[in-house]
Amino acid sequence: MKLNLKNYQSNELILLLFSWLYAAAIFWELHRDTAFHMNSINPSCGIMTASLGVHPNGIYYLLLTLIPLSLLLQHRFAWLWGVCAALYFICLRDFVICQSGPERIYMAWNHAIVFWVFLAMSTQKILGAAKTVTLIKFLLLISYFAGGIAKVRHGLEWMNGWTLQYYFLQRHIDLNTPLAVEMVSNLQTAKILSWLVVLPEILVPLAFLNKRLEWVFVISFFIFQIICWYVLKLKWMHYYGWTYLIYFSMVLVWLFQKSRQRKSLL
Amino acid sequence: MPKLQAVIFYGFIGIQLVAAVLPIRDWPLTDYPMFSYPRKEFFGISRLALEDVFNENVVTWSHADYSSVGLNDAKLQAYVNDVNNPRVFEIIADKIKHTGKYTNGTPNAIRVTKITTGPDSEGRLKTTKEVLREIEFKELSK
Repeated sequence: MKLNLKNYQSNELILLLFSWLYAAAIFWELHRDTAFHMNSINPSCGIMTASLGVHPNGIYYLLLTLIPLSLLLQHRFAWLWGVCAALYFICLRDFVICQSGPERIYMAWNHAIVFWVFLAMSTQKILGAAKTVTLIKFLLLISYFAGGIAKVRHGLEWMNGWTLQYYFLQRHIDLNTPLAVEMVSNLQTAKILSWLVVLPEILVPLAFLNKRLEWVFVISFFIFQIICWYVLKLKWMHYYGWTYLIYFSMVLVWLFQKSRQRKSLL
Repeated sequence: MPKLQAVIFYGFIGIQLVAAVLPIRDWPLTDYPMFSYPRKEFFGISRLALEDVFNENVVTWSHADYSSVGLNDAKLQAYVNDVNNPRVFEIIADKIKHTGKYTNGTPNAIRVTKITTGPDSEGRLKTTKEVLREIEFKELSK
């Protein structure tokens, strides 16, 4: 079947571009982390794979094979992404359901969203491109909301300034992070920064009401993540950060269509 | 919207919202303990550091110095309550042998210091340093 981009609607193009970029990125991440996952998936999925009569590493390699395969066949067999999600869940179960201990919790944060994105991509034939794109965008934004809710679950105590000082200091001591201590060296500044972190996270549902507001939130969160990456050395771009590719794909498709319109006018 | 579409679409959204709002452990995307637990006023966070004591100055080991010999703070941190533990000496002696940082001369001694950073009464972060142990370089390089 010949792929002709001119016949695609904009949401179909966005989803197509996103699935290419996202699958390539996750494949690369998994491949890069092979040694790490080989050591951690055995206890994670041992019971599940034993019941299937398969070695855990076999499932991992099957996942690595299936991602590019789904990428090639998604036009006809979009449900293959569901199989990827299932394999991902089996392999990285302890991360996806946050059972691997607090020291690996950032891994949980990273892997859980990949599982859900694969699952969302598997529904594209039933839901259509527009709704699948909406779901992926929703997954990205709702993760910030969940983070915000987790912070205010104990009341407003998270914004006491000490909390941010403690976390920044801990990262600085563990990883020699630049600027971390300077940023929160004053308690009042730490309090203000705490509110600046939590408020957008709590207010993110507003992004679903207005497109411009959605872009304001997305760009703000993206900048916020870059700051976190630099100041706290948070490895946000691994797995989790690739979800931003949905917005990147939107921008690229918009530019592509604009250039096509210009050409047709000429 | 056909019924199946609606069930999948709103079901997907509903699950995420419920998981975000309710603290259901064992459910993907429901737990963010990494930075979510509030902390009360704390005394400070400590770490151990190594310092090279020369005649004219004292040079603190950088992170690169530690990593170049495969040493991390955590390994020393394990002995923070008993810095005179013979294991501390063994670890440092072993790393001294493998480091390439003393090409311009060796220090007189290696110091193990405890660096504590924490807020003062007004909430400003302050760093204090306490020398826990000083070991002659000659002893270490035997």
